[in-house]
Amino acid sequence: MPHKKHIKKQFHKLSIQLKCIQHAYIFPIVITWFVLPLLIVLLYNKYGLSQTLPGLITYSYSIRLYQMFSPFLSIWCPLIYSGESIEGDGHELLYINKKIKAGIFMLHFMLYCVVLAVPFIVLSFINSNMLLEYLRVVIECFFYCGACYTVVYLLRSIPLTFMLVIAYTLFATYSNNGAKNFLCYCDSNPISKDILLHSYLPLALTGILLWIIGVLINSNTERLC
Amino acid sequence: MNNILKLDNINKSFRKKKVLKNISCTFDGGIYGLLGPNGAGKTTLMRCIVSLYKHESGNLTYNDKKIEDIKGCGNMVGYLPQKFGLFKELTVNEILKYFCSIKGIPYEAENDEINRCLQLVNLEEHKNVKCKKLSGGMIRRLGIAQAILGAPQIIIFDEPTTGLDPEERLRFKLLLKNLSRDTIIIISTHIVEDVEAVCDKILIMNDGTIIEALTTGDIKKTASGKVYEVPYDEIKNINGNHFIEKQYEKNNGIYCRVLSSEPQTFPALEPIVEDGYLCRIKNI
Repeated sequence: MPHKKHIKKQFHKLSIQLKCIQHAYIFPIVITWFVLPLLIVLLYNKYGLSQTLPGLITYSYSIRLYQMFSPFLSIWCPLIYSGESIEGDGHELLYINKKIKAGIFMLHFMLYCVVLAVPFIVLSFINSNMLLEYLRVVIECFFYCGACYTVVYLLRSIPLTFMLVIAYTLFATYSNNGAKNFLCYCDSNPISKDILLHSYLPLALTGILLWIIGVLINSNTERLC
Repeated sequence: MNNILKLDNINKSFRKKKVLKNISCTFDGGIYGLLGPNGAGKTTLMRCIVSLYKHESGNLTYNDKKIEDIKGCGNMVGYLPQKFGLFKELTVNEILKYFCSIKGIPYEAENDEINRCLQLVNLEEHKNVKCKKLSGGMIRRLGIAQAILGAPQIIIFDEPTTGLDPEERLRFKLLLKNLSRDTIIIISTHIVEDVEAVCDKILIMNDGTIIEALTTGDIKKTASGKVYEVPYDEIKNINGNHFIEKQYEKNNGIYCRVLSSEPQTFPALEPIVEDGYLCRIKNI
Protein backbone atom coordinates (compact mmCIF):
# COMPACT_ATOMS: atom_id res chain seq x y z
CA MET A 1 0.00 0.00 0.00
CA PRO A 2 2.35 2.79 -1.18
CA HIS A 3 -0.32 5.49 -0.70
CA LYS A 4 -0.94 4.46 2.88
CA LYS A 5 2.80 4.51 3.52
CA HIS A 6 3.14 7.94 1.90
CA ILE A 7 0.27 9.40 3.92
CA LYS A 8 1.70 7.91 7.13
CA LYS A 9 5.07 9.46 6.28
CA GLN A 10 3.52 12.88 5.59
CA PHE A 11 1.66 12.84 8.90
CA HIS A 12 4.82 11.71 10.67
CA LYS A 13 6.60 14.73 9.15
CA LEU A 14 3.69 16.99 10.10
CA SER A 15 3.80 15.84 13.72
CA ILE A 16 7.54 16.61 13.82
CA GLN A 17 6.92 20.04 12.29
CA LEU A 18 4.26 20.80 14.90
CA LYS A 19 6.73 19.79 17.58
CA CYS A 20 9.29 22.10 15.98
CA ILE A 21 7.11 25.15 16.42
CA GLN A 22 6.51 24.14 20.04
CA HIS A 23 3.26 25.48 21.43
CA ALA A 24 2.77 28.06 18.67
CA TYR A 25 0.34 25.69 16.92
CA ILE A 26 -2.08 26.12 19.81
CA PHE A 27 -2.55 29.80 18.94
CA PRO A 28 -4.80 29.31 15.85
CA ILE A 29 -6.83 26.65 17.69
CA VAL A 30 -7.41 28.87 20.74
CA ILE A 31 -8.45 31.86 18.60
CA THR A 32 -10.68 29.81 16.26
CA TRP A 33 -12.35 27.62 18.86
CA PHE A 34 -12.52 29.85 21.92
CA VAL A 35 -11.78 33.56 21.40
CA LEU A 36 -13.86 34.17 18.27
CA PRO A 37 -16.86 32.11 19.49
CA LEU A 38 -16.73 34.00 22.79
CA LEU A 39 -16.91 37.32 20.91
CA ILE A 40 -19.83 35.98 18.87
CA VAL A 41 -21.65 34.90 22.03
CA LEU A 42 -21.18 38.42 23.38
CA LEU A 43 -22.58 39.82 20.11
CA TYR A 44 -25.59 37.51 20.32
CA ASN A 45 -26.16 38.63 23.86
CA LYS A 46 -26.12 42.25 22.77
CA TYR A 47 -28.04 42.11 19.47
CA GLY A 48 -29.94 38.82 19.58
CA LEU A 49 -30.61 36.34 16.81
CA SER A 50 -33.66 37.73 15.05
CA GLN A 51 -33.97 38.33 11.31
CA THR A 52 -34.38 42.02 12.01
CA LEU A 53 -31.59 44.61 11.87
CA PRO A 54 -29.95 43.81 15.26
CA GLY A 55 -29.88 40.10 14.37
CA LEU A 56 -28.28 40.89 11.02
CA ILE A 57 -25.65 43.00 12.79
CA THR A 58 -24.74 39.95 14.89
CA TYR A 59 -24.52 37.82 11.74
CA SER A 60 -22.37 40.27 9.79
CA TYR A 61 -20.02 40.92 12.72
CA SER A 62 -19.63 37.17 13.27
CA ILE A 63 -18.68 36.37 9.71
CA ARG A 64 -16.48 39.46 9.56
CA LEU A 65 -14.57 38.25 12.60
CA TYR A 66 -13.83 34.91 10.95
CA GLN A 67 -12.94 36.59 7.65
CA MET A 68 -10.54 38.88 9.48
CA PHE A 69 -8.70 36.29 11.56
CA SER A 70 -8.96 32.94 9.79
CA PRO A 71 -6.75 33.64 6.73
CA PHE A 72 -4.02 34.95 8.99
CA LEU A 73 -4.37 31.99 11.35
CA SER A 74 -4.27 29.52 8.45
CA ILE A 75 -0.73 30.58 7.52
CA TRP A 76 0.52 30.91 11.11
CA CYS A 77 1.96 27.37 11.53
CA PRO A 78 3.52 26.92 8.07
CA LEU A 79 5.09 30.38 8.24
CA ILE A 80 6.67 29.74 11.61
CA TYR A 81 7.89 26.34 10.47
CA SER A 82 9.30 27.87 7.27
CA GLY A 83 11.87 29.59 9.47
CA GLU A 84 13.74 26.26 9.59
CA SER A 85 13.79 25.79 5.83
CA ILE A 86 14.73 29.40 5.13
CA GLU A 87 16.88 30.64 7.98
CA GLY A 88 17.90 27.45 9.86
CA ASP A 89 21.58 26.49 10.01
CA GLY A 90 22.04 23.75 7.44
CA HIS A 91 18.63 24.29 5.84
CA GLU A 92 20.14 23.25 2.51
CA LEU A 93 19.88 19.65 3.73
CA LEU A 94 16.11 19.96 3.39
CA TYR A 95 16.47 20.68 -0.35
CA ILE A 96 18.54 17.61 -1.26
CA ASN A 97 16.50 15.68 -3.85
CA LYS A 98 14.90 19.03 -4.84
CA LYS A 99 12.26 18.77 -2.15
CA ILE A 100 10.02 21.83 -2.42
CA LYS A 101 7.85 22.79 0.50
CA ALA A 102 4.44 23.25 -1.18
CA GLY A 103 3.16 20.06 0.43
CA ILE A 104 3.86 21.38 3.92
CA PHE A 105 1.80 24.52 3.27
CA MET A 106 -1.02 22.44 1.77
CA LEU A 107 -1.04 20.01 4.68
CA HIS A 108 -1.18 22.82 7.24
CA PHE A 109 -3.93 24.51 5.21
CA MET A 110 -6.03 21.33 5.23
CA LEU A 111 -5.44 20.89 8.93
CA TYR A 112 -6.64 24.44 9.58
CA CYS A 113 -9.74 23.81 7.41
CA VAL A 114 -10.62 20.98 9.82
CA VAL A 115 -10.06 23.26 12.81
CA LEU A 116 -12.19 25.96 11.19
CA ALA A 117 -15.01 23.53 10.42
CA VAL A 118 -15.79 23.02 14.12
CA PRO A 119 -17.15 26.53 14.94
CA PHE A 120 -18.96 26.67 11.59
CA ILE A 121 -20.71 23.37 12.34
CA VAL A 122 -21.86 24.86 15.66
CA LEU A 123 -22.94 28.09 13.93
CA SER A 124 -24.88 26.12 11.32
CA PHE A 125 -27.37 25.16 14.05
CA ILE A 126 -28.16 28.88 14.37
CA ASN A 127 -27.96 29.91 10.73
CA SER A 128 -28.50 27.71 7.69
CA ASN A 129 -26.17 29.77 5.47
CA MET A 130 -23.05 28.64 7.31
CA LEU A 131 -21.85 26.05 4.78
CA LEU A 132 -21.47 28.78 2.15
CA GLU A 133 -19.89 31.11 4.73
CA TYR A 134 -17.43 28.33 5.58
CA LEU A 135 -16.59 27.93 1.89
CA ARG A 136 -16.00 31.68 1.62
CA VAL A 137 -13.52 31.66 4.53
CA VAL A 138 -11.79 28.52 3.21
CA ILE A 139 -11.26 30.26 -0.15
CA GLU A 140 -9.78 33.27 1.64
CA CYS A 141 -7.48 30.95 3.61
CA PHE A 142 -6.42 29.18 0.41
CA PHE A 143 -5.62 32.53 -1.21
CA TYR A 144 -3.44 33.46 1.78
CA CYS A 145 -1.64 30.10 1.68
CA GLY A 146 -0.82 30.48 -2.02
CA ALA A 147 0.33 34.06 -1.57
CA CYS A 148 2.42 33.31 1.50
CA TYR A 149 4.03 30.25 -0.03
CA THR A 150 5.23 32.43 -2.91
CA VAL A 151 6.17 35.49 -0.88
CA VAL A 152 8.02 33.80 1.99
CA TYR A 153 10.47 31.97 -0.27
CA LEU A 154 10.81 35.02 -2.51
CA LEU A 155 11.67 37.35 0.37
CA ARG A 156 13.36 34.63 2.43
CA SER A 157 12.30 36.41 5.60
CA ILE A 158 9.63 35.32 8.06
CA PRO A 159 9.24 38.69 9.88
CA LEU A 160 8.90 40.57 6.58
CA THR A 161 6.28 38.12 5.32
CA PHE A 162 4.32 38.41 8.57
CA MET A 163 4.41 42.21 8.27
CA LEU A 164 3.14 42.05 4.70
CA VAL A 165 0.36 39.64 5.70
CA ILE A 166 -0.76 41.88 8.57
CA ALA A 167 -0.69 44.97 6.32
CA TYR A 168 -2.72 43.17 3.65
CA THR A 169 -5.22 41.82 6.20
CA LEU A 170 -5.78 45.35 7.52
CA PHE A 171 -6.16 46.69 3.99
CA ALA A 172 -8.65 43.96 3.03
CA THR A 173 -10.61 44.40 6.25
CA TYR A 174 -10.93 48.15 6.28
CA SER A 175 -11.01 49.01 2.58
CA ASN A 176 -14.82 48.51 2.68
CA ASN A 177 -14.95 47.52 -0.95
CA GLY A 178 -17.18 44.60 -0.17
CA ALA A 179 -17.49 42.32 -3.13
CA LYS A 180 -16.62 45.00 -5.71
CA ASN A 181 -12.94 44.10 -5.80
CA PHE A 182 -12.21 40.46 -5.15
CA LEU A 183 -8.80 41.20 -3.64
CA CYS A 184 -10.51 43.20 -0.87
CA TYR A 185 -12.18 39.97 0.17
CA CYS A 186 -13.78 41.07 3.45
CA ASP A 187 -17.52 41.35 3.00
CA SER A 188 -20.06 41.66 5.80
CA ASN A 189 -23.02 40.86 3.57
CA PRO A 190 -24.50 37.37 3.87
CA ILE A 191 -23.03 35.08 1.27
CA SER A 192 -24.98 33.76 -1.68
CA LYS A 193 -24.05 31.43 -4.51
CA ASP A 194 -23.94 34.43 -6.80
CA ILE A 195 -21.45 36.35 -4.62
CA LEU A 196 -19.40 33.18 -4.19
CA LEU A 197 -19.15 32.75 -7.95
CA HIS A 198 -18.51 36.39 -8.86
CA SER A 199 -16.25 37.53 -6.02
CA TYR A 200 -14.70 34.48 -4.41
CA LEU A 201 -14.11 32.22 -7.40
CA PRO A 202 -11.61 34.78 -8.82
CA LEU A 203 -9.97 34.86 -5.39
CA ALA A 204 -9.66 31.06 -5.42
CA LEU A 205 -8.25 31.16 -8.95
CA THR A 206 -5.76 33.84 -7.89
CA GLY A 207 -4.78 31.58 -5.00
CA ILE A 208 -4.16 28.70 -7.44
CA LEU A 209 -2.17 31.00 -9.73
CA LEU A 210 -0.01 32.22 -6.84
CA TRP A 211 0.47 28.63 -5.75
CA ILE A 212 1.69 27.65 -9.24
CA ILE A 213 3.99 30.69 -9.38
CA GLY A 214 5.36 29.71 -5.97
CA VAL A 215 5.99 26.11 -7.05
CA LEU A 216 7.75 27.33 -10.21
CA ILE A 217 9.91 29.83 -8.35
CA ASN A 218 10.74 27.43 -5.55
CA SER A 219 11.56 24.55 -7.87
CA ASN A 220 14.86 26.38 -8.30
CA THR A 221 16.07 25.25 -4.87
CA GLU A 222 19.57 26.51 -5.72
CA ARG A 223 18.32 30.00 -4.90
CA LEU A 224 17.28 28.86 -1.43
CA CYS A 225 20.55 27.15 -0.44
CA MET B 1 31.08 -3.45 -5.46
CA ASN B 2 31.67 -0.66 -7.95
CA ASN B 3 31.71 2.75 -6.34
CA ILE B 4 33.10 5.39 -8.66
CA LEU B 5 32.21 9.06 -8.73
CA LYS B 6 33.53 10.85 -11.76
CA LEU B 7 33.62 14.57 -12.41
CA ASP B 8 34.35 15.54 -15.97
CA ASN B 9 34.87 19.20 -16.92
CA ILE B 10 32.43 20.58 -14.37
CA ASN B 11 31.75 24.31 -14.65
CA LYS B 12 29.63 26.51 -12.45
CA SER B 13 29.08 30.26 -12.38
CA PHE B 14 27.10 32.62 -10.19
CA ARG B 15 26.04 35.50 -12.40
CA LYS B 16 29.28 36.52 -14.09
CA LYS B 17 31.60 34.95 -11.53
CA LYS B 18 32.97 31.60 -12.61
CA VAL B 19 33.32 29.57 -9.41
CA LEU B 20 34.22 26.15 -10.82
CA LYS B 21 36.43 25.92 -13.89
CA ASN B 22 36.70 22.62 -15.76
CA ILE B 23 36.89 20.44 -12.68
CA SER B 24 37.82 16.86 -13.54
CA CYS B 25 38.61 14.09 -11.08
CA THR B 26 37.65 10.57 -10.13
CA PHE B 27 36.79 9.29 -6.66
CA ASP B 28 36.61 5.62 -5.76
CA GLY B 29 36.26 4.05 -2.31
CA GLY B 30 38.45 5.90 0.18
CA ILE B 31 38.90 9.14 2.05
CA TYR B 32 39.66 12.31 0.11
CA GLY B 33 40.67 15.66 1.53
CA LEU B 34 39.67 18.76 -0.36
CA LEU B 35 42.00 21.53 0.69
CA GLY B 36 41.89 25.11 -0.40
CA PRO B 37 41.71 28.68 0.86
CA ASN B 38 38.39 30.40 1.49
CA GLY B 39 36.60 31.13 -1.79
CA ALA B 40 38.43 28.38 -3.69
CA GLY B 41 35.13 26.75 -4.69
CA LYS B 42 35.16 23.77 -2.31
CA THR B 43 31.61 24.25 -1.01
CA THR B 44 30.24 24.90 -4.50
CA LEU B 45 31.86 21.70 -5.75
CA MET B 46 30.37 19.74 -2.86
CA ARG B 47 26.94 21.23 -3.47
CA CYS B 48 27.19 20.23 -7.12
CA ILE B 49 27.98 16.65 -6.06
CA VAL B 50 24.96 16.49 -3.72
CA SER B 51 22.80 18.04 -6.49
CA LEU B 52 21.99 21.20 -4.54
CA TYR B 53 23.57 23.17 -7.37
CA LYS B 54 23.16 22.35 -11.01
CA HIS B 55 26.45 22.35 -12.88
CA GLU B 56 26.38 24.29 -16.14
CA SER B 57 28.47 21.98 -18.25
CA GLY B 58 30.36 18.75 -17.97
CA ASN B 59 29.37 15.36 -16.61
CA LEU B 60 28.94 14.22 -13.04
CA THR B 61 28.55 10.46 -13.01
CA TYR B 62 28.23 7.79 -10.35
CA ASN B 63 29.07 4.30 -11.59
CA ASP B 64 28.75 5.59 -15.17
CA LYS B 65 25.24 6.97 -14.59
CA LYS B 66 24.63 10.70 -14.63
CA ILE B 67 23.87 11.89 -11.10
CA GLU B 68 20.86 13.90 -12.30
CA ASP B 69 19.39 10.77 -13.91
CA ILE B 70 19.58 8.71 -10.73
CA LYS B 71 16.20 8.75 -9.00
CA GLY B 72 16.57 9.87 -5.38
CA CYS B 73 20.29 10.41 -5.81
CA GLY B 74 20.21 12.50 -2.62
CA ASN B 75 19.58 9.32 -0.63
CA MET B 76 22.88 7.80 -1.63
CA VAL B 77 24.79 10.90 -0.51
CA GLY B 78 25.34 11.92 3.09
CA TYR B 79 26.11 15.60 3.48
CA LEU B 80 27.23 17.66 6.44
CA PRO B 81 27.03 21.37 5.62
CA GLN B 82 29.32 24.01 7.10
CA LYS B 83 26.65 25.01 9.58
CA PHE B 84 24.26 22.56 11.15
CA GLY B 85 21.70 23.45 13.80
CA LEU B 86 18.23 22.60 12.53
CA PHE B 87 15.19 21.85 14.67
CA LYS B 88 16.40 23.24 17.98
CA GLU B 89 13.15 22.24 19.72
CA LEU B 90 13.40 18.57 18.79
CA THR B 91 15.33 15.82 20.56
CA VAL B 92 18.31 14.13 18.92
CA ASN B 93 16.15 11.06 18.23
CA GLU B 94 13.34 13.11 16.63
CA ILE B 95 15.78 15.02 14.40
CA LEU B 96 17.33 11.80 13.16
CA LYS B 97 13.86 10.32 12.59
CA TYR B 98 13.02 13.34 10.45
CA PHE B 99 16.17 12.82 8.39
CA CYS B 100 15.35 9.09 8.13
CA SER B 101 12.01 10.02 6.56
CA ILE B 102 13.72 12.50 4.20
CA LYS B 103 16.27 9.87 3.17
CA GLY B 104 13.61 7.24 2.59
CA ILE B 105 14.86 4.83 5.25
CA PRO B 106 12.09 2.28 5.94
CA TYR B 107 10.06 3.09 9.06
CA GLU B 108 10.79 -0.30 10.64
CA ALA B 109 14.56 0.13 10.25
CA GLU B 110 14.69 3.68 11.64
CA ASN B 111 15.42 2.85 15.29
CA ASP B 112 18.26 0.43 14.56
CA GLU B 113 19.83 2.84 12.09
CA ILE B 114 19.58 5.77 14.50
CA ASN B 115 21.17 3.72 17.29
CA ARG B 116 24.00 2.65 15.00
CA CYS B 117 24.80 6.22 13.98
CA LEU B 118 24.50 7.60 17.51
CA GLN B 119 26.90 4.94 18.73
CA LEU B 120 29.41 5.90 16.03
CA VAL B 121 29.35 9.57 17.04
CA ASN B 122 29.11 8.76 20.75
CA LEU B 123 25.79 10.48 21.32
CA GLU B 124 23.65 7.54 22.53
CA GLU B 125 23.35 9.02 26.01
CA HIS B 126 21.90 12.23 24.58
CA LYS B 127 19.30 10.53 22.40
CA ASN B 128 16.39 12.15 24.21
CA VAL B 129 17.99 15.53 24.82
CA LYS B 130 16.65 18.55 22.94
CA CYS B 131 19.02 19.97 20.33
CA LYS B 132 18.99 23.41 21.99
CA LYS B 133 20.52 21.85 25.12
CA LEU B 134 23.48 20.31 23.27
CA SER B 135 26.92 21.90 23.15
CA GLY B 136 28.36 23.14 19.84
CA GLY B 137 30.52 20.04 19.52
CA MET B 138 27.57 17.73 20.20
CA ILE B 139 25.48 19.50 17.54
CA ARG B 140 28.35 19.00 15.12
CA ARG B 141 28.41 15.30 16.00
CA LEU B 142 24.65 15.18 15.47
CA GLY B 143 25.27 16.66 12.02
CA ILE B 144 27.80 13.92 11.34
CA ALA B 145 25.24 11.32 12.51
CA GLN B 146 22.60 12.59 10.07
CA ALA B 147 25.18 12.51 7.27
CA ILE B 148 25.99 8.83 7.85
CA LEU B 149 22.34 7.80 8.32
CA GLY B 150 21.35 5.07 5.90
CA ALA B 151 25.00 4.15 5.17
CA PRO B 152 25.25 6.29 2.00
CA GLN B 153 27.79 5.35 -0.69
CA ILE B 154 29.13 8.91 -0.81
CA ILE B 155 29.67 11.00 2.32
CA ILE B 156 30.61 14.65 2.10
CA PHE B 157 31.78 16.63 5.10
CA ASP B 158 32.12 20.39 4.74
CA GLU B 159 34.42 21.73 7.47
CA PRO B 160 33.50 18.85 9.79
CA THR B 161 35.80 19.70 12.67
CA THR B 162 34.73 23.33 13.11
CA GLY B 163 33.77 23.78 16.75
CA LEU B 164 35.11 20.41 17.89
CA ASP B 165 37.59 20.21 20.75
CA PRO B 166 40.85 18.21 20.26
CA GLU B 167 39.35 15.06 21.80
CA GLU B 168 36.32 15.24 19.52
CA ARG B 169 38.55 15.83 16.51
CA LEU B 170 40.40 12.64 17.33
CA ARG B 171 37.08 10.82 17.68
CA PHE B 172 36.00 12.14 14.30
CA LYS B 173 39.18 10.80 12.71
CA LEU B 174 38.55 7.41 14.34
CA LEU B 175 34.98 7.47 13.06
CA LEU B 176 36.26 8.01 9.52
CA LYS B 177 38.49 4.98 9.89
CA ASN B 178 35.50 2.92 11.06
CA LEU B 179 33.37 3.77 8.05
CA SER B 180 33.35 1.25 5.24
CA ARG B 181 36.38 1.43 2.97
CA ASP B 182 34.07 1.09 -0.03
CA THR B 183 32.44 4.41 0.81
CA ILE B 184 33.63 7.57 -0.92
CA ILE B 185 34.32 10.14 1.77
CA ILE B 186 35.18 13.69 0.82
CA ILE B 187 36.28 16.12 3.52
CA SER B 188 36.52 19.77 2.68
CA THR B 189 38.60 21.94 4.95
CA HIS B 190 41.28 24.56 5.10
CA ILE B 191 42.79 22.97 8.23
CA VAL B 192 45.53 20.73 6.90
CA GLU B 193 46.01 18.66 10.06
CA ASP B 194 42.38 17.47 9.82
CA VAL B 195 43.03 15.60 6.61
CA GLU B 196 46.71 14.78 7.01
CA ALA B 197 46.31 11.61 9.08
CA VAL B 198 43.17 10.16 7.57
CA CYS B 199 43.06 10.92 3.87
CA ASP B 200 44.23 8.57 1.17
CA LYS B 201 44.45 11.39 -1.31
CA ILE B 202 44.42 15.17 -1.07
CA LEU B 203 43.03 17.47 -3.71
CA ILE B 204 44.18 21.04 -3.58
CA MET B 205 41.73 23.61 -4.93
CA ASN B 206 42.40 27.22 -5.73
CA ASP B 207 40.43 29.75 -7.71
CA GLY B 208 37.85 27.23 -8.92
CA THR B 209 40.26 24.58 -10.17
CA ILE B 210 41.89 21.47 -8.76
CA ILE B 211 45.55 22.31 -8.98
CA GLU B 212 46.89 19.10 -7.48
CA ALA B 213 45.65 15.63 -6.55
CA LEU B 214 48.30 13.75 -4.61
CA THR B 215 48.86 11.42 -1.67
CA THR B 216 50.02 13.01 1.59
CA GLY B 217 53.55 11.68 0.98
CA ASP B 218 53.71 13.23 -2.48
CA ILE B 219 52.44 16.56 -1.16
CA LYS B 220 55.22 16.60 1.42
CA LYS B 221 57.74 15.90 -1.34
CA THR B 222 56.63 19.00 -3.27
CA ALA B 223 57.96 21.09 -0.37
CA SER B 224 61.19 19.16 -0.09
CA GLY B 225 64.17 21.55 0.10
CA LYS B 226 61.89 24.57 0.37
CA VAL B 227 61.32 24.75 4.14
CA TYR B 228 63.75 26.70 6.30
CA GLU B 229 64.11 27.77 9.89
CA VAL B 230 65.10 31.40 9.88
CA PRO B 231 65.89 33.58 12.93
CA TYR B 232 63.39 36.43 13.08
CA ASP B 233 66.11 39.08 12.83
CA GLU B 234 67.38 37.61 9.57
CA ILE B 235 64.13 37.48 7.67
CA LYS B 236 65.28 40.46 5.60
CA ASN B 237 68.22 38.38 4.35
CA ILE B 238 66.03 35.84 2.56
CA ASN B 239 66.34 36.21 -1.16
CA GLY B 240 63.73 35.38 -3.78
CA ASN B 241 60.07 34.43 -3.53
CA HIS B 242 59.26 33.30 0.02
CA PHE B 243 56.39 32.92 2.48
CA ILE B 244 56.55 33.09 6.29
CA GLU B 245 54.39 30.23 7.61
CA LYS B 246 54.68 30.82 11.33
CA GLN B 247 56.74 32.36 14.08
CA TYR B 248 57.76 30.54 17.27
CA GLU B 249 60.11 30.72 20.26
CA LYS B 250 63.04 28.33 20.54
CA ASN B 251 66.19 28.41 22.70
CA ASN B 252 65.39 31.95 23.91
CA GLY B 253 65.20 33.19 20.35
CA ILE B 254 62.39 33.90 17.88
CA TYR B 255 62.39 31.83 14.73
CA CYS B 256 60.24 31.65 11.59
CA ARG B 257 59.26 28.68 9.45
CA VAL B 258 59.78 29.99 5.93
CA LEU B 259 58.95 28.52 2.54
CA SER B 260 61.30 29.64 -0.17
CA SER B 261 61.50 28.77 -3.84
CA GLU B 262 65.22 29.48 -3.89
CA PRO B 263 67.95 27.70 -1.87
CA GLN B 264 68.86 29.51 1.35
CA THR B 265 71.83 29.37 3.69
CA PHE B 266 69.56 28.74 6.72
CA PRO B 267 68.95 25.25 8.15
CA ALA B 268 66.45 23.23 6.12
CA LEU B 269 63.48 21.55 7.85
CA GLU B 270 61.61 18.30 7.19
CA PRO B 271 58.48 19.26 5.21
CA ILE B 272 54.97 18.43 6.43
CA VAL B 273 51.74 18.33 4.40
CA GLU B 274 50.95 21.95 5.28
CA ASP B 275 54.25 23.04 3.69
CA GLY B 276 53.42 21.21 0.48
CA TYR B 277 49.92 22.67 0.43
CA LEU B 278 51.18 26.22 0.98
CA CYS B 279 53.89 25.79 -1.66
CA ARG B 280 51.17 25.00 -4.21
CA ILE B 281 48.83 27.75 -3.10
CA LYS B 282 51.54 30.42 -2.91
CA ASN B 283 53.31 29.24 -6.07
CA ILE B 284 56.59 28.58 -4.28
